[in-house]
Amino acid sequence: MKCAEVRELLGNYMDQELTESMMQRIEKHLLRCPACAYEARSIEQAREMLRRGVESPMVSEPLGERILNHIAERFPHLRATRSTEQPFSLPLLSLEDEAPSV
Amino acid sequence: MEHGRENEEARLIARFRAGDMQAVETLFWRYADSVLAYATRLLGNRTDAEEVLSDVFLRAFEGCMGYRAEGTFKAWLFRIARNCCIDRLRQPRLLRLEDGVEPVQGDDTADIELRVAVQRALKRLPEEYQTVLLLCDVEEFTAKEVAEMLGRSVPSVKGMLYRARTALRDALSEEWGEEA
Ligand SMILES: [Zn+2]
Repeated sequence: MKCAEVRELLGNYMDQELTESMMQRIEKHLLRCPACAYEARSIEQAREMLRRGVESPMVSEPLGERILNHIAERFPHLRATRSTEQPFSLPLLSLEDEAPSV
Repeated sequence: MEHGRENEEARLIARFRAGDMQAVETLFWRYADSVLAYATRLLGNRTDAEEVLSDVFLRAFEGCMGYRAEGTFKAWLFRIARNCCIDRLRQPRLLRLEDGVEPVQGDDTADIELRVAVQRALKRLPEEYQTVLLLCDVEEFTAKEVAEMLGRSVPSVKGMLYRARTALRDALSEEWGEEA
C-alpha cells in the first residue's frame, strides 16, 4: 500500500470502519512506515487530549430551575403541571398567605 | 437500544405537547450538562454558555410544538445549540466575555494546563472543525448524525473530521510547546 492511500483511509482506520482485511493491510503498513505511524499516533494522541482536556461544566440546580421556569412561562399549556416549589420555607406565613387555589 | 431511547423520547415529547411539565424536566436534565459543556467549548467561556443554554432549550421545545425533522432529540438540541453559539459569536466582542478556563475542584496543575492548551488549540481552528471534533470525538455522535445536523454528506463530514483532527494535532503541539 502506498502512503497516500493509507493517509486517505487513516480516519476510517481510527474509527474502525474498514473491512477486516483493509484494517490489517493498514496495520502492516504502519508497522513498516514510521511517517504514517507517527501520523496515526499523533492524531490519536490529540484526540485523547481533546477528550480529557475539554471543559465539562455542569448545570447548577438554580440555573436549571431558572431555565425550567422560563420554559414554563413560554408555554402556557405547561403551567398547570409545573410543581410550584417554595424557595424559602416560611411556615408562619405560608398558612395565611396561601392564595386560594383556582 | 438506541431505538428504545428514541421511542421513549418521542413519548416524552408527546407528553410535553400535552402539557406535562415533568416530561420537560426529564428531557432538560438529561441533556442540560452536555449542552452547557458543548456551548462552553464553542464559546470559550461558561458565562456566555449559561446565557445561551436557556435559549437552546426554549427553541428546542418550540420546535417540538410544531414540525420537527427526523432524528433524535439530542441531535436536534445540539443542532440548535450550535446555531445559538454561532449567533452569539457574531455579536460584537464587547458583549461577550473573555475566553477562560475555570478551575474545577480536584484539578491539579497538569489538568489545568491541558485544559488551557486544548481550549486555545480548539479556538484556533475554523468553527466547522471545532464543531465536528466536539460532536464526533467528544459527544460521540455518528458521522451520519453530524451530517444531518450540518446539512452535509457523510463523506464530507468524514473528510472534514480527518482534516480537523490533523489541524487539532498541529495546533495542540504548538500550544503545548508554548506552555512548556
Ligand atoms: Zn506510509
